[in-house]
Amino acid sequence: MGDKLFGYAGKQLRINLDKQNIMQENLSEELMQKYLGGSGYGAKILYDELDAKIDPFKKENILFLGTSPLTNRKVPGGGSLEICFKSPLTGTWGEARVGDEFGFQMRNAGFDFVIIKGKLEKPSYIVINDGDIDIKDGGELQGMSASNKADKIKEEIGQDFSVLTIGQGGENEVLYSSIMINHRAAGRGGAGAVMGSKNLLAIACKGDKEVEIANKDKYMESVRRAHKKIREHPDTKEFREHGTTGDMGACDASGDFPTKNWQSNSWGKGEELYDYFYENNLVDNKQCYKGCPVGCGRIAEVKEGKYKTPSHEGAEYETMSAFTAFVLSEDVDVAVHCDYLCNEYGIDTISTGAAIAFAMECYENGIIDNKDTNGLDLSWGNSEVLPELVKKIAKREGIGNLLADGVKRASKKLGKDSYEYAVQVKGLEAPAHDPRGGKALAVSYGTGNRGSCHIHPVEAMGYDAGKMEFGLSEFGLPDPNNVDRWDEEGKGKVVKLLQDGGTLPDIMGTCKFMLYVGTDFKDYVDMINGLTGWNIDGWELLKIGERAINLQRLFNIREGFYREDDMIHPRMGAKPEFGLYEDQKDCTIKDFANILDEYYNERGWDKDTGKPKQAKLKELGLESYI
Amino acid sequence: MKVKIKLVGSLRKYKNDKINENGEVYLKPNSTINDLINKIGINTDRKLIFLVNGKQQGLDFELSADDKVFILTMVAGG
Repeated sequence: MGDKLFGYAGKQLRINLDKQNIMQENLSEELMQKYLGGSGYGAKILYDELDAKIDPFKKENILFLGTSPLTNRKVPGGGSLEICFKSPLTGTWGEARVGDEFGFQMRNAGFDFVIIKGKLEKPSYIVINDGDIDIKDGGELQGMSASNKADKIKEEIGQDFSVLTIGQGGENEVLYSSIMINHRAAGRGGAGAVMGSKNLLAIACKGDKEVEIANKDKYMESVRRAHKKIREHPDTKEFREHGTTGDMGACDASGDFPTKNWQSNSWGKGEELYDYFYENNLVDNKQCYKGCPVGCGRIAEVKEGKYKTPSHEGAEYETMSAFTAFVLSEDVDVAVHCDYLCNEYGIDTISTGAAIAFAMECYENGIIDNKDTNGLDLSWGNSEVLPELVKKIAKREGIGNLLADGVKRASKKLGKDSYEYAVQVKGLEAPAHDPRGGKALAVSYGTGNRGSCHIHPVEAMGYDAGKMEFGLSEFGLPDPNNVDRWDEEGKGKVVKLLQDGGTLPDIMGTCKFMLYVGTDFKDYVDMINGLTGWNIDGWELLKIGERAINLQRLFNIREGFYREDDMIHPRMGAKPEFGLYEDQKDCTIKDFANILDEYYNERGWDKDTGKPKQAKLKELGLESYI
Repeated sequence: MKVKIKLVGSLRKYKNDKINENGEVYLKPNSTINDLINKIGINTDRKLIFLVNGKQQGLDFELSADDKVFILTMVAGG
């Protein structure tokens, strides 16, 4: 190790909003080698600097913005920013990723990480302009949509800034509000609400410093190799043309399409819904940052009619499924419109759609009625109420106030049988992938540190049903082609490795989808070594992933989350009540406790409590956390 | 024997006169999935996923009369 920290900007910026105190600190190379960046280093900062069991809306909560050496335009998927916080929705470790240019600007301004604590006296926004930091009055921005806030700030300080904003959802502390950038969302877990609780409406950043690279030739050779693989991969063109939304038909056909609030795992209409979208709503594809070799982002619109919606970025698979299959609506125009509204209000599309589906089932069963809904008819498939409910949630009006707290809290308030309809793990609403279509996903949902999320730490369905191995077979991952997606035995074991690898993009600040189109961890190892001058190998990189998962797990245990909190919601494993798999007996989860035992054993965690054992923590260099 | 097939997503471009209006394909007895895709003429470098009556199977799997075969590509999403 030398004095120079190659590959990093080399500093972290600390902003205490109470005192408007700003500090710049040099990074430790030892810590960077141990945690690398993103959600890895974020886990260390949050564990070390947050007191146990603090209220996530207290000023002490941290908003951590993280990059890594791979946050670089040339790196495939390198335009990612990782945001870490204690989640107000779940009370657990919280993190959310967003693609765009902000991470580049942060590093060009001289900072790999930004750590924000405290609370502003009045609504304001932060400007990071190279090394200069300013906190500006944001009174005029209050109540504006997320994109209008960004436009207004750019008008004032310059169009070349990259701007993170919250919408009214964040201002109103909707527990699943997101942080937005150009209609892209750091969506899950309520980062926007944490930002809103600090009276912080936006963060603008630009810079023009160059990060120094240790071995440019080695770095560029690995970059070129990875780009070549992506160019030549047979799925790249398809992904560009159809994006994630194009999988609605395949997910439906394979029983990976939660429908009618998880009463089934298929509907039989996914393909026709996507056809309508492709013909009528899709405008173009979009790169989330200039240089992305895939460009899977969607530009969508509703051209005319009651739900006329301007051309905007979004309408991904999750969103379109949440506002169609979850609520049994066949109106794709309404789904695109709701996507736009959620982006402008800055609320998570998955949790919003899930909360509405929950409300519809409560309505069907008489747990809520027209009096509770102010006359709105929440019958299944009534698409007209969807935009109304999105607005009510964002503004916390009427029934929206109940739903803005997420389905777990709402079911506690409503009582009766409503918990049966509150499909979540650890309080995070389940997304639009179904473990009855592939059992590895059940383990991911149960043990995900931020709750039931399909993509963090890994999209286990990609392995089980998609037969993708993400370059992990040489590290011991069984060949997915020899694995039955409906088998339960063995799934605990494979998910350990899938998570260790699958969390790395969140640490590296890269896009997971690059792993679907030909890149693998060895490519990223070579890029890291070229950028930093280190000499790590794939095993060490995986160890960084495992370390982060264990430290995030320790964070959750300190907050009081144990084995019982890893159990999936009963709906996730129940026999489908209708659809393509109604009569398929393998399409249920029979013994999740046994899968969990297998997973804990593979992880080196105590079977009864789910706590990492001392030996595991020592192995990971986390002995100081014992 | 006949099997019923569904070509999902972009694979629909391979629909042709080998598949009747009910989505059925006629095959010789003991035909495999490989025989089926050769008959339809699916020619792609993309990884194909075959679900026979919901169960994932490989190219060598021997089909039976009235099997329901879904053919699809990568399942991802976010």
